[in-house]
Amino acid sequence: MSKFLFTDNDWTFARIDAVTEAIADIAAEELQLDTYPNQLEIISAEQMLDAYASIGLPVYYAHWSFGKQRAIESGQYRRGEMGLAYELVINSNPCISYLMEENTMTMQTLVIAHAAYGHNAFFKNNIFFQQWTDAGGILDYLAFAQRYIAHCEERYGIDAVTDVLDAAHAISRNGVDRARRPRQLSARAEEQRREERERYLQQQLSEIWRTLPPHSADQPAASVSFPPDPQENLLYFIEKNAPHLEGWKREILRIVRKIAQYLYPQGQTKIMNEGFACFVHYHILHSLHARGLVTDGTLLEFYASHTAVTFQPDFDDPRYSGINPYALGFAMFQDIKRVCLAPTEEDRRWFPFAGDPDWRKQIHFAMREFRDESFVLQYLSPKVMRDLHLFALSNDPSATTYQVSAIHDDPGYQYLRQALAQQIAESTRPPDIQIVSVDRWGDRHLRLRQMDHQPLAQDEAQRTLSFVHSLWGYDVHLDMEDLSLREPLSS
Amino acid sequence: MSMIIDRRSSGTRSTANQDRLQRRVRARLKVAVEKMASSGSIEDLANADQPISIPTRDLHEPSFRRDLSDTSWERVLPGNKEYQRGDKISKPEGGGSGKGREGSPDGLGDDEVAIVLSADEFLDLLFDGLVLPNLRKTALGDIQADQWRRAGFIKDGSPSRMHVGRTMRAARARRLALRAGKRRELQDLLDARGTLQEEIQGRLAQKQDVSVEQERLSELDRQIAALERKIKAIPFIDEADLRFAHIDQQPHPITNAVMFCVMDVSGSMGEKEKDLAKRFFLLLYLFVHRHYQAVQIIFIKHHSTASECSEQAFFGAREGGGTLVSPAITLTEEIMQQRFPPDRWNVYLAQVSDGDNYFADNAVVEEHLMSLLPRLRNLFYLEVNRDSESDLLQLYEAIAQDFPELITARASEREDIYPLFRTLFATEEIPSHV
Repeated sequence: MSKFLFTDNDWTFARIDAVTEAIADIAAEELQLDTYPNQLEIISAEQMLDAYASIGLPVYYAHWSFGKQRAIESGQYRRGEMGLAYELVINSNPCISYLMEENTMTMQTLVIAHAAYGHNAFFKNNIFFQQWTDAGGILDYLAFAQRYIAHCEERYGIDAVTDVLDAAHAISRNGVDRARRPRQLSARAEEQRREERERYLQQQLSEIWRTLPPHSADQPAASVSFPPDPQENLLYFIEKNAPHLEGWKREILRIVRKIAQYLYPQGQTKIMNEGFACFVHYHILHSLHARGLVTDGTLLEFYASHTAVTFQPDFDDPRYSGINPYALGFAMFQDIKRVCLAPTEEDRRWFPFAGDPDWRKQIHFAMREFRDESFVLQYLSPKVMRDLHLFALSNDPSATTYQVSAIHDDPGYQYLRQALAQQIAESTRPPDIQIVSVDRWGDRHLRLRQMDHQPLAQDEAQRTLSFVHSLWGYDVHLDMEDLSLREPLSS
Repeated sequence: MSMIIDRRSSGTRSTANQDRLQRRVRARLKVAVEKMASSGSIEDLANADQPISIPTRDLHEPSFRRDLSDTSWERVLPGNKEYQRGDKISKPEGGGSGKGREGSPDGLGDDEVAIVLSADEFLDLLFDGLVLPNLRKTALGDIQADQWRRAGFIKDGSPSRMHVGRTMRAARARRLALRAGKRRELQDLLDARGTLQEEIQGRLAQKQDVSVEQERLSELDRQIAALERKIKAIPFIDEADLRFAHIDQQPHPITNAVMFCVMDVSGSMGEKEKDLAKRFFLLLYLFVHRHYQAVQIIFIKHHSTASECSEQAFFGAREGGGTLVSPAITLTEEIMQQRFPPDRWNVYLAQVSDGDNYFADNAVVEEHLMSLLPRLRNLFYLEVNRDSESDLLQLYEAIAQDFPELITARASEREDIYPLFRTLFATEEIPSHV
């Protein structure tokens, strides 16, 4: 009697159930994964496109930009330029994974292993997700946000709400507390707290409205700058301090800020998250095969999908569009396991944990404690660099050539590692623009300053600034890096 | 620990986003739709689900972004084959850092978004802000007609309307209800009989007297037989079970409309004039259709005589001879009275002509129109391809003084038709927003 969970490739609910059970056993016994409970949802391709358009969130408020996204993607999908992802997974408790109805049973198995166990465990255990997101509250909060914004549209008109959302979206990437751990979303109390806030907020704005001279001598003098320290969270500062903003607009800023905060760790851990999920599905599918639960055919189909997902085109390949996070992440996690089980002399020089027989502990540690930038700095091994044939190219705008600054050889490993970490850090971080002062006693203009050194796209910055202006209500200036070359932008 | 939910039936949820997107680019969509309406082919108009491309710059979402185009940077790339440290690679011509993507086959570049409008959305935009002018209200408000509608089930009615399913269901319920108590009683008696028989067996084994028990047993048998008879006597179907489908008359507003298209097919109407006419009829049809569930079209061609014909014959045929308008009006009136009585139908008349009419016929036309007009919702008259107003048009304009439902216009180029249409049906108030 064969133990195969399925032999033909059509999925049924019973088979999905059986496969999920088998995978849960392997995940617990062999990988010791700690996961949220799973909720698997079967959806159609159209629904998958919907989910794409709203950054994968199951409930989201309405905005034209999501419609635009969908128009672009459904166009590409219909023309066959883009395949749909096989799955989408949401960092929530229970952890929701979407399975497409078009998938074969093998694909559903892969998706359950990848999303419902790999990503799920990552969401639950990675320190950035633990600190920045509240998986238990997010679904409630999204539902609240959708209700609230629909209510605002009804009351103040779709156009007025769209204007606020447009402005908030423009600076949403600068609406995240990067250095400080934010307070948890408390979705259920949100409704009451919002009403309280609305009532008292106007009074709290007195800092900016106060025009009478200070009452006593020990009051701070007018020359003391406000805010006392530069503020990196533009959305938060405007929400709390904009002089004229109506209460509902502040609430919308808050919603956009909270959701940006929730999504922040996903951008910070793309390589790790996908790499870990691939590592998990790779292990689980082999284990299912080794236990005699899936056929050779299933394993072959799995290999075809797996290699397609973790394929890294070379830089001169027409398909190249940057480093594939699946490829790099998977290679690095597999390599951690290899360094534990079969270390070479080189590995022993590079990694103190080389030869540790408990590879699960090392994998778990890496998965928990890092984000992409630090993960690459800590774990990118010479072997992976050699396998991927990594090299660094530098550009000097005045020169007529690019220069190869390092390749995958002994003198180059450290350099490559750092250059890649730096590159990841820059691509995941928006330009560092902070609020340095408000002219409280004069015309209330708001002064922003760019704190990092890379030039901004001028046109973009100007248009973004006019959005900031529309929220703040008074003049806004941006001091740019390299003042000798550029005038400050203002709006 | 895991839960599986089938969400496929819950449908898509992108409508709200799509509405907002269309709202944002409404001005652009409108221009595109109007362009299609004035110069595109008629097939495009009639089944419009063509994508309309909108430049993405209209939909740009700015944010603070880096611009690394002329600054120094360093990148890590995969797939080194022959480079060594210190190698120099010449920059591509033109200084661009990336390669442009090629346009896709349907001509959409990277900087365009295609928005597909459904037929309804297309017509919404096409007829945005337009209303049927001077719509004649009947004395009773909207025309009402009685319609037979299903209205549940009743206990008596004509045998032909008996509802077998409902009847059998009622019968079964009655049988179950009447039997249940008796069955329970019967079971009790059978049980009692069983224990009694066991008792008799026991006493017989001990050689005791069983006459009392035998008597009791025959008594029980009688009761059981009686009960079984009663249960059998419950009829399979009873008069009380009968159910009949009920239908009832309910007033219902008339939502059907008929549009009479009348065209002059005499020698003076060439291909170009027919094209103008076709456009005019189609737009009218689409527009009228939005107000009603179904719209029928009757084509009437005329030269010196009038006849009803198919759409193909209507637009294809060219016939010689002089021109008389009155036969067409008379024929319209006849068909209307026979097949589309105005108390049941919303009647529209659309007429296209080059204005040629035998001089003496105009008086006849006027007479017929005077009797026909009060029964029409609207009469649209389009005069094509003439340098000056014809006598016929002047006549119509004079009549329109008393009957504002009669609407006249002139056109000579295909691009004129849609703007003309807009001016005819524009609401009088000018939109206040810019």
